[in-house]
Amino acid sequence: MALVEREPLALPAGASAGTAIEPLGVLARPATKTGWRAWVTTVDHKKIGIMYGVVAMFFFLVGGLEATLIRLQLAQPNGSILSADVYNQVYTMHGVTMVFLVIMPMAAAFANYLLPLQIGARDVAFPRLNALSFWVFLFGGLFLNRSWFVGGGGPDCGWFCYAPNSGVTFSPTHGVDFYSIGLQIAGVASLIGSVNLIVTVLNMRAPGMTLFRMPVFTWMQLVVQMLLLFSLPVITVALFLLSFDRNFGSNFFNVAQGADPLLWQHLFWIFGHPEVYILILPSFGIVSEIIPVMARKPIYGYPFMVFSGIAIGFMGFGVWAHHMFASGLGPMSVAAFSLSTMFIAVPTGVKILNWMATMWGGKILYNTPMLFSAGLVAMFTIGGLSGVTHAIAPADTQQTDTYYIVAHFHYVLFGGALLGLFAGFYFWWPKIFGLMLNDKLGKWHFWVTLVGFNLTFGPMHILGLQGMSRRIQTYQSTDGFTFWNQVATLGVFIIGAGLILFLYNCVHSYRTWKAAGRPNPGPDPWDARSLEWSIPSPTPEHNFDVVPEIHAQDDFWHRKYGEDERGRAVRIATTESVAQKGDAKGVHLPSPSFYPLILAAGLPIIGYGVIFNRLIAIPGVLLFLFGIYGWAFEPATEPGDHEGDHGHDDHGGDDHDGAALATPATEEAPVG
Amino acid sequence: MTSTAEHHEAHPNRDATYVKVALILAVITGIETFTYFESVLDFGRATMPLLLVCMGLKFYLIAAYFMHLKWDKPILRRTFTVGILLALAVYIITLTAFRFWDAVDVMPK
Amino acid sequence: MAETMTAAADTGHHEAHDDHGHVTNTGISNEKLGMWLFLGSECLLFGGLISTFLLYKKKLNTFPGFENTTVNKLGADLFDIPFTSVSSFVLLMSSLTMVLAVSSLQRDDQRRTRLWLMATALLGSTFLAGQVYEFTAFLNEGLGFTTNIFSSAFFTLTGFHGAHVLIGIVILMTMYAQALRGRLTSRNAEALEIAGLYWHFVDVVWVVIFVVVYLIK
Repeated sequence: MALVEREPLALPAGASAGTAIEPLGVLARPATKTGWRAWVTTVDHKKIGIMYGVVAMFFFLVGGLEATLIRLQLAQPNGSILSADVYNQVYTMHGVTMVFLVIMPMAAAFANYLLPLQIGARDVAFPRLNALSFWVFLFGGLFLNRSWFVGGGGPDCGWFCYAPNSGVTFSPTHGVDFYSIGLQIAGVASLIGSVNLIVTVLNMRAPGMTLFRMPVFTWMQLVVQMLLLFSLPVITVALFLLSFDRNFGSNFFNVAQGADPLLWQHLFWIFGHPEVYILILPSFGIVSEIIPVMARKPIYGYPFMVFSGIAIGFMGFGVWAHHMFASGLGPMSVAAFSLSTMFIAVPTGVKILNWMATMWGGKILYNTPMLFSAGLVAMFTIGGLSGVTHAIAPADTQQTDTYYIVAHFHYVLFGGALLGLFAGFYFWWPKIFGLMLNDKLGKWHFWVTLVGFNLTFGPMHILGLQGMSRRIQTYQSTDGFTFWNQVATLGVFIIGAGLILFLYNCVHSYRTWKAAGRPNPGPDPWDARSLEWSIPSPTPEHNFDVVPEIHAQDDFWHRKYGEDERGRAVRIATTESVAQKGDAKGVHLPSPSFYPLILAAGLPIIGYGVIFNRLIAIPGVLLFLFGIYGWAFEPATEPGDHEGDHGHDDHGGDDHDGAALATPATEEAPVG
Repeated sequence: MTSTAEHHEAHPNRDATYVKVALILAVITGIETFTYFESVLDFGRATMPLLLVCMGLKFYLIAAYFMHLKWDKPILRRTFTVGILLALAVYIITLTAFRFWDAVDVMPK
Repeated sequence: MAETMTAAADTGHHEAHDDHGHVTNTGISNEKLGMWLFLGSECLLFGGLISTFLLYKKKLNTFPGFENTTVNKLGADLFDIPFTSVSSFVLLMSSLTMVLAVSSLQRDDQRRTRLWLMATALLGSTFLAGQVYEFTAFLNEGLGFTTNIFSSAFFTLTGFHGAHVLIGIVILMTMYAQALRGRLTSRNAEALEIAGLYWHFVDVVWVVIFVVVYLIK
């Protein structure tokens, strides 16, 4: 039955039948493994991960363009590149894009690609739901950006979109409608993804892969998905209230009727603060993988790394009101949240100390992934420290709404999250694409980015303390803000140069690799520790020939290295002898499906319907229903693909019959 | 079929228990409803605590018996409990920040 | 170090050479675990809606200048408690029929499964019809979705719950259609159980709403 998406994970059972069988369902499944059909119907977690990465990179360029516009506007006093109105829209969309359409999906790209590999699984728990969450995310992101063209401009209320500024009175274009519905759609994608990945990690680990043998990256992703699971419904509520106010005339943020605009702030930040950790923890996980490999030492204090991650996750739900110190919460609330905010710095500090202790005394290889990782540790520490200064409420009252805050969160999000993600790109590129990125160009990319980044955001500390306000489209020459603003604008172009270096590196490395006759980097180019390096590069479609058995943390490392009598690591086996060959035949994989795409395509149409004309929603709803029912009545795997799966199946013949039950899990997820 | 027999073993017949639980639920609902008719039975200041206890009891009975949490793996119970506790925590704190629990001080008219 | 914690960390067991789908680390199927995670998430959704309602109910009580206008008619005065008690009872009993349907299917008693499924869907529909009646009555009294902060919060909360009930009915009817075609057998008992989890959750939410929204003054 359709509910059972786990069948494909059977061990190889000889050659697959391969006979042509009439496909079930209304839409025939494509048989090809290449070409656009293979991509749009794929349920392979690796292809989905790559698509996440590509789309996130596209939105990164969009968000970067918006950032450049902001900096150009502020390059001189009384700048006139953007009007005040457009400026509002540009910084709003810059924030929304970078948070929801760049860092989150980039982290999702790594999560999708790596989680199954790191726990020794053949795919995620629900491959089709995985495809669905990607398509829903993509359509949500495109929908959000459509507001530039059909909404009368982008949303102009800031990424936090405080009420009552977000109301029709103060924001009469459709921008905020696109914001609320677009984020709602993107939220559905993340919710589906979170359920999927949590189930994957809890249920699909290879034999012996206990929770406390999992790589730190997997752990951090587990925490992130838990955070998403429990924080997204809160923003869902907030966005519904906003949409209802704007589109159906309810009174949730109608102050004239006695509504309390602080309600929005609370709901937004109950989600918004866990969201901060949702953005940073994946990068923490990435550098926790890279630093031990490059320092040639196991991670220092693995349990502390894991528990500090869990602690950050839990405490992340108890600090949200520190975003609202200036809103008149009352001294008791402010004091309580001030304290909890200071406490959350402790587990974060534990992580930084552990990374440094991992590097300490190691034979560090200063290659590109390591440089980016070290960059994260240094830059995030700066951002973290300025963050602690906001925890002190009286100081925060001075800092709120100034560029000091902007400096802080760019140090943690750019200097933290993004540097970590780039480290991940360089590190896992050979595993994903089967070729190495050029290390020299990569180092250039790193240093140029680091300099540009500090030039852009370092001066904002000064500007903020001098009193320059955020979200104001210009300043006067007499304010004394001109010099540092010009430095910041110069910095953004250097960051841009760094990004171009990265994109050039991708192309250049591919060309030289092709010219050299496509040399394979081998399964384990970094002499690394986790399971994904025990299989060929690029990862074969079925991941593992044989599901590995795990006997220790860093199991793959221990199969390569033993200890001599003085406790030093010595090679005991070559990588070739312990790595899998990737040549298994007849592994049953889940079949591709059109329905995730169809189902997802219905959502933005419903969104247009809500905003413009209810009639438009009808085809959207029909498409949505067609998607759900087509999905529910389509077996996860083509019948011909799964004989031999059932070692003790006594039903044999009617195996295909039950193939058609609507599953609540798949029906429910989209509406939640 | 053998598998049907296995199913018998795996799923003991609990229909009688379910009916009993439903009866208890019905009685509690009756008590809840009665609190509304103060002329019949006035619980005074105990009304609100009584209602909350009734609610909690009903919640527990449905989750434990109808949703099988009583017999299922602990991880499911924990997952659900985390959701409930987190919801209670964040929303009670939010309402506290709004001074929701203060006595209703009707503003000067 | 880490190794010492492993024993306690993982209760799941493996059959090393049988990676058969039914063996998961936790011993729970992916679908069931996924549904429970989703329900955990839903707690925060309804928690947010209920809190919004409570806050605005109190706000409207204390908001100056609205006391004597008809616009300010509090829904609490309009509540028809005997009526709502009956519909609460109906939804409660639908949980019983649901669990009996699952139990019947586990014994492969397909005839009873169909019977209980239909009963559940009918009880759910009765509840929904009651909600439609209640909404209509409120509208006739002049309390619409846009009337005031209380009414917006009330209709949103109960509307969300009603939408969940509606989705539940659709799922049940889909299952019923499958049952009629003989495709709902004891092998699918878990699918029905998972649908049941969703149904019971919707019921549990109403248990809370009934007390917090209707009964507490």
